[in-house]
Amino acid sequence: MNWTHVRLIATSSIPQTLRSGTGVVYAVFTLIFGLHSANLIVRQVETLGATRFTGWVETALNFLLASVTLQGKTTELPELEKFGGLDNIHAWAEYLLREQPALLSAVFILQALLVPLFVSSGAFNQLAGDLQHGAVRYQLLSTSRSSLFFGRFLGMAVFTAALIVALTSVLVLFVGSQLDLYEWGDLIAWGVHCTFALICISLPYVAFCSWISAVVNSPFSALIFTGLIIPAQPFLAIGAMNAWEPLGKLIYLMPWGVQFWLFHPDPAKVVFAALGCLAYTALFLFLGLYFFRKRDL
Amino acid sequence: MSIETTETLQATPALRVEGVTKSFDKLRALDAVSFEVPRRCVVGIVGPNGAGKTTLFSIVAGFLIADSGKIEILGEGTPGHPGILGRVSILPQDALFDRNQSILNQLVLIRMLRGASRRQARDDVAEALARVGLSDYLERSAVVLSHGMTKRLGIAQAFLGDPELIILDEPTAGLDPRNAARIRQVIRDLSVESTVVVSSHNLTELQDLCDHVVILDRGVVKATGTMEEIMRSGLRRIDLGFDEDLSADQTATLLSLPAVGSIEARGSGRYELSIDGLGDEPVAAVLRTLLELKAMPKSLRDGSSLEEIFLSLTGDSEE
Amino acid sequence: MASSDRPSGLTALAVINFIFGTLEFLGGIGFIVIRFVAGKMLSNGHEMSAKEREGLQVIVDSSWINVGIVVALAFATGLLLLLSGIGYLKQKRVLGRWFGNGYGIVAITYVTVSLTLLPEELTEGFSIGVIRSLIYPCFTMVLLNSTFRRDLAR
Repeated sequence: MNWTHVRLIATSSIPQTLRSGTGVVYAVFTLIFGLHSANLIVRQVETLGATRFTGWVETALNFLLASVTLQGKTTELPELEKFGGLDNIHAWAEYLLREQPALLSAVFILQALLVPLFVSSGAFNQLAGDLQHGAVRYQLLSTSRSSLFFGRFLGMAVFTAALIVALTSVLVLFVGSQLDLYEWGDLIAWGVHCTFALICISLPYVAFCSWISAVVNSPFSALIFTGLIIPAQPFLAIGAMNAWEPLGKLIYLMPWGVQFWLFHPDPAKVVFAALGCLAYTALFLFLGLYFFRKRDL
Repeated sequence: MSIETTETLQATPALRVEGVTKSFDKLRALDAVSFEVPRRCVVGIVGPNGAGKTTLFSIVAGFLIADSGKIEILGEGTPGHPGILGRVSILPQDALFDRNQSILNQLVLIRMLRGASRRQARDDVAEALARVGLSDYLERSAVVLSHGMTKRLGIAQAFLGDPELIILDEPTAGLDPRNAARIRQVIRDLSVESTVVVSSHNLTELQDLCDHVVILDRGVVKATGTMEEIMRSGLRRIDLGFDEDLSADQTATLLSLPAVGSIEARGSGRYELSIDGLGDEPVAAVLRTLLELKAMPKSLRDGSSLEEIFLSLTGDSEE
Repeated sequence: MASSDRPSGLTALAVINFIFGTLEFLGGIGFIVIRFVAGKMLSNGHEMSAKEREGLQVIVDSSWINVGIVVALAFATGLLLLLSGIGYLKQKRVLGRWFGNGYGIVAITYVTVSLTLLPEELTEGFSIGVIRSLIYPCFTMVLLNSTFRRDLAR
């Protein structure tokens, strides 16, 4: 693999993705729906008041974190009063809502749920379109398949990271300037942490899209695959766990079971989650590259 | 990339294909194909539809993975080897340029991948497009180009950065005679320093353009060698014209020569002789015999066309 | 020879323009309807809490001229979105690039003016929703003057 080639391909792939329309839709979809979803949460503060809002978010967070960390069947969770039996989850939610700016925590946890969906709808066409029309053949004798694959991945990862930074910056600036709830220092520190977390979360999904895009010859098929597999996978795993508990481990086929640990109070767990996301990224890239190098183009 | 002296450069073939086999399900597209392409020449790959030409090119270019066999490019290694990146280029048959990007941007990227700086790449692209008459389309998408212009664009792309080995898959297919002639001229002009491997259905064109030929049929190499060797290795024919018909004795004498396989009368003193053997000697023997028989031909045409050799070698293959 | 070298990104922008343009028209009509319905609800003595009544009163007290200005800007934004969408498809310099940039400027003006002239009960004040409605005009202007600049030249 030639890093100069990877850089060249990555930088050229960003305008390419915008000109192909996929990038335009991806950016508009991510920014508008990201802000829209954040707006829904912020308005809840106005509607419910800060105390009721925190209680409402705490219940939702407890349920979400208990579900994705497989701490009990989802059908049983609501029966646990405030998830009292799940001290670790309770402490985690307390950290997010009491020790960190609660509003930002709520908004960013929601973004952590949405980022994989945004990625699945925007990063699916890294190679599939060029494979379909053969445009990739013009580059293949000038560069290696590895450079091409990693270049496209890197371009899409940078584009995604730029969208996430834009989104989180707007949110932190808005909350800081318009809502007199938190100190700027706390907001910026937590904002930087959450931006890092969201970028970490996005990477394995971009890599998964790279894999699918490299083995499927049609952008439409790639979109169907990524658009179905990424959002459906946690529901299938958690649903399967309700039928038979060990099946819940299926959630670890994708980073859903790991990614929320990036918001954990224990720094060691955050590092573990970040490494986990990178491991998923590496795994998906390895699989994608393996099949891309073996396949006929 | 290893440092090559002139001698080793000449000694190492530009392309060596050894026992390459490729199947698609039950269809064997290439069956133990082997041949060599010397440096700095134009080599034609000839074969009917389905002979495996595009499959072969795709394997050499690294688009397809061979089931078995070995390919060595520029003495460096297999397709995808870092040592050959940027030194080989291809005009693929069915590939399209990205419709969403300008021609300039796409070619600049390709040129930069072949080692140029951005400024040099822009200059090279502008020059390459000027050579193929497409300077006005730098900022346009390739979708606005006609079929012929697209071929010219593909050829400009293939010659960008002066690669050492250039593979052109049917560069004149589907073109009108004027555009085909223009592309042939472009290939001649641009192939001075490079090795060009070209496939075509137009055998007259290849006969005119190529120094070496590989005849491929149903995935098997039927013949390979210099154009001269190929032209003389096939069923060689001589057309002779006389003022009057040959007598039965004269015909029998000619037939008694070891080099003469058969004589067919074509009417009005015209005969076609099939000749076995290479070089000038068999023809000289025929002419000496005719001189002794006092039957001097008024016209003589020696040798078959590449098309005739191709048809005799590929037999009943579908065209 | 193929007739159009329009990049798919411009087609995507045009489709988004048509969707947002329609929504802008509906939004403009929405202002009039809310202003009208609020007046009716108050005059009919509709049952509601004091807070709700207060909110409706603020809406009714807003000037029809102000509402008219904002609605006109909403319609202008919608119209520019639709026209520039057609311009993108036809790759026209004036209808596409100029009208697209015009949309960006008018949309930003529209957001600013509506925040200034209308009561918070109608606009919800400065919120993330407002930033969201500035995203697309800004994004459009960036794209039209960089990525798609050369594509809108007819």
